[in-house]
Amino acid sequence: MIKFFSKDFDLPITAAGQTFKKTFELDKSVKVITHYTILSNREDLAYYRGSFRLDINKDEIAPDGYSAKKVMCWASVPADQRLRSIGRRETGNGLINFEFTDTNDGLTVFQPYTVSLSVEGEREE
Amino acid sequence: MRARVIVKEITIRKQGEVQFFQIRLPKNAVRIIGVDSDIILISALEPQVDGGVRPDKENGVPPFVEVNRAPFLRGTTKSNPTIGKLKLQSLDRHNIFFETWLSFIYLNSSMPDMRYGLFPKSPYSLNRNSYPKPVHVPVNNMAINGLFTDAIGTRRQSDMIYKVKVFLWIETNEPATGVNYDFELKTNSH
Repeated sequence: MIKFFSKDFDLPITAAGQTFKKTFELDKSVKVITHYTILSNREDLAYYRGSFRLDINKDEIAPDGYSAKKVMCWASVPADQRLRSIGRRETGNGLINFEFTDTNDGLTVFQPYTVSLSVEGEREE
Repeated sequence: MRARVIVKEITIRKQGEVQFFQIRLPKNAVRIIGVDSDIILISALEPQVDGGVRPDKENGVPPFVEVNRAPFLRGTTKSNPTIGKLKLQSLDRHNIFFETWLSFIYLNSSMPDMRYGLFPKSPYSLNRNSYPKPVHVPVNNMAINGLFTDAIGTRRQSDMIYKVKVFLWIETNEPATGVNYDFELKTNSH
């Protein structure tokens, strides 16, 4: 039986102007990823300073340097439209590689923050 | 067929700078399906609270007539400054296939969702996530020429440093059965 799956993976950003990488492992029952977005506890920092790279099962979803603001959701966007659709990506080995790059800019002052990769998909039971 | 994104980043440093650049495409590219862009401001951007001054002069003296740029609902909104103009050209198309003014978009500069499930969607009641602008350009040459012209540095009469990112969404001939990005479906329906 196919059920809805949703999970957030956290990546702490602890230094300005650096790239942070993490590999997340999905549960084996998760078969397909359909949507994703980036959330943060400091939305302004992630929005103005962030770019990222994402691949699921070695399948490139977003290339290096893709701006976080392109997938971050606005408060004014309806809740059911906030995640970015990527079709049906099979999870395969279940590994999600996520790299987040912080870039110094003229609008914000760096403070440690956390970005979350939020994914939605389907799992089998 | 599947979609991929090509990221091209250029840095503007001088007032009124015009920069030519080239975006190289992979060999398996079939067509360009969308263009998107982003600005990263390296220089600080102070808000122009006076709304700016008209560029025209009388007898050589600026008239100091304020242009009213105060946005609707001033207390909660900010205007997004125009940064410059981007043009893209492909050898597979006559002339320029994409041209736009790029604006720097502030976080939450848009208005909140005020339809509350009661009113129909409209630009005044609802915003949505940004999507690439759909284009349809077949790819035979593996390079796209770009041109970016600074506007904010000229208007502020100072050297503004910022990065411009151009995201080129392309369709490749890699096999990916049943996989589509949502905006591709919208592109195909045009």
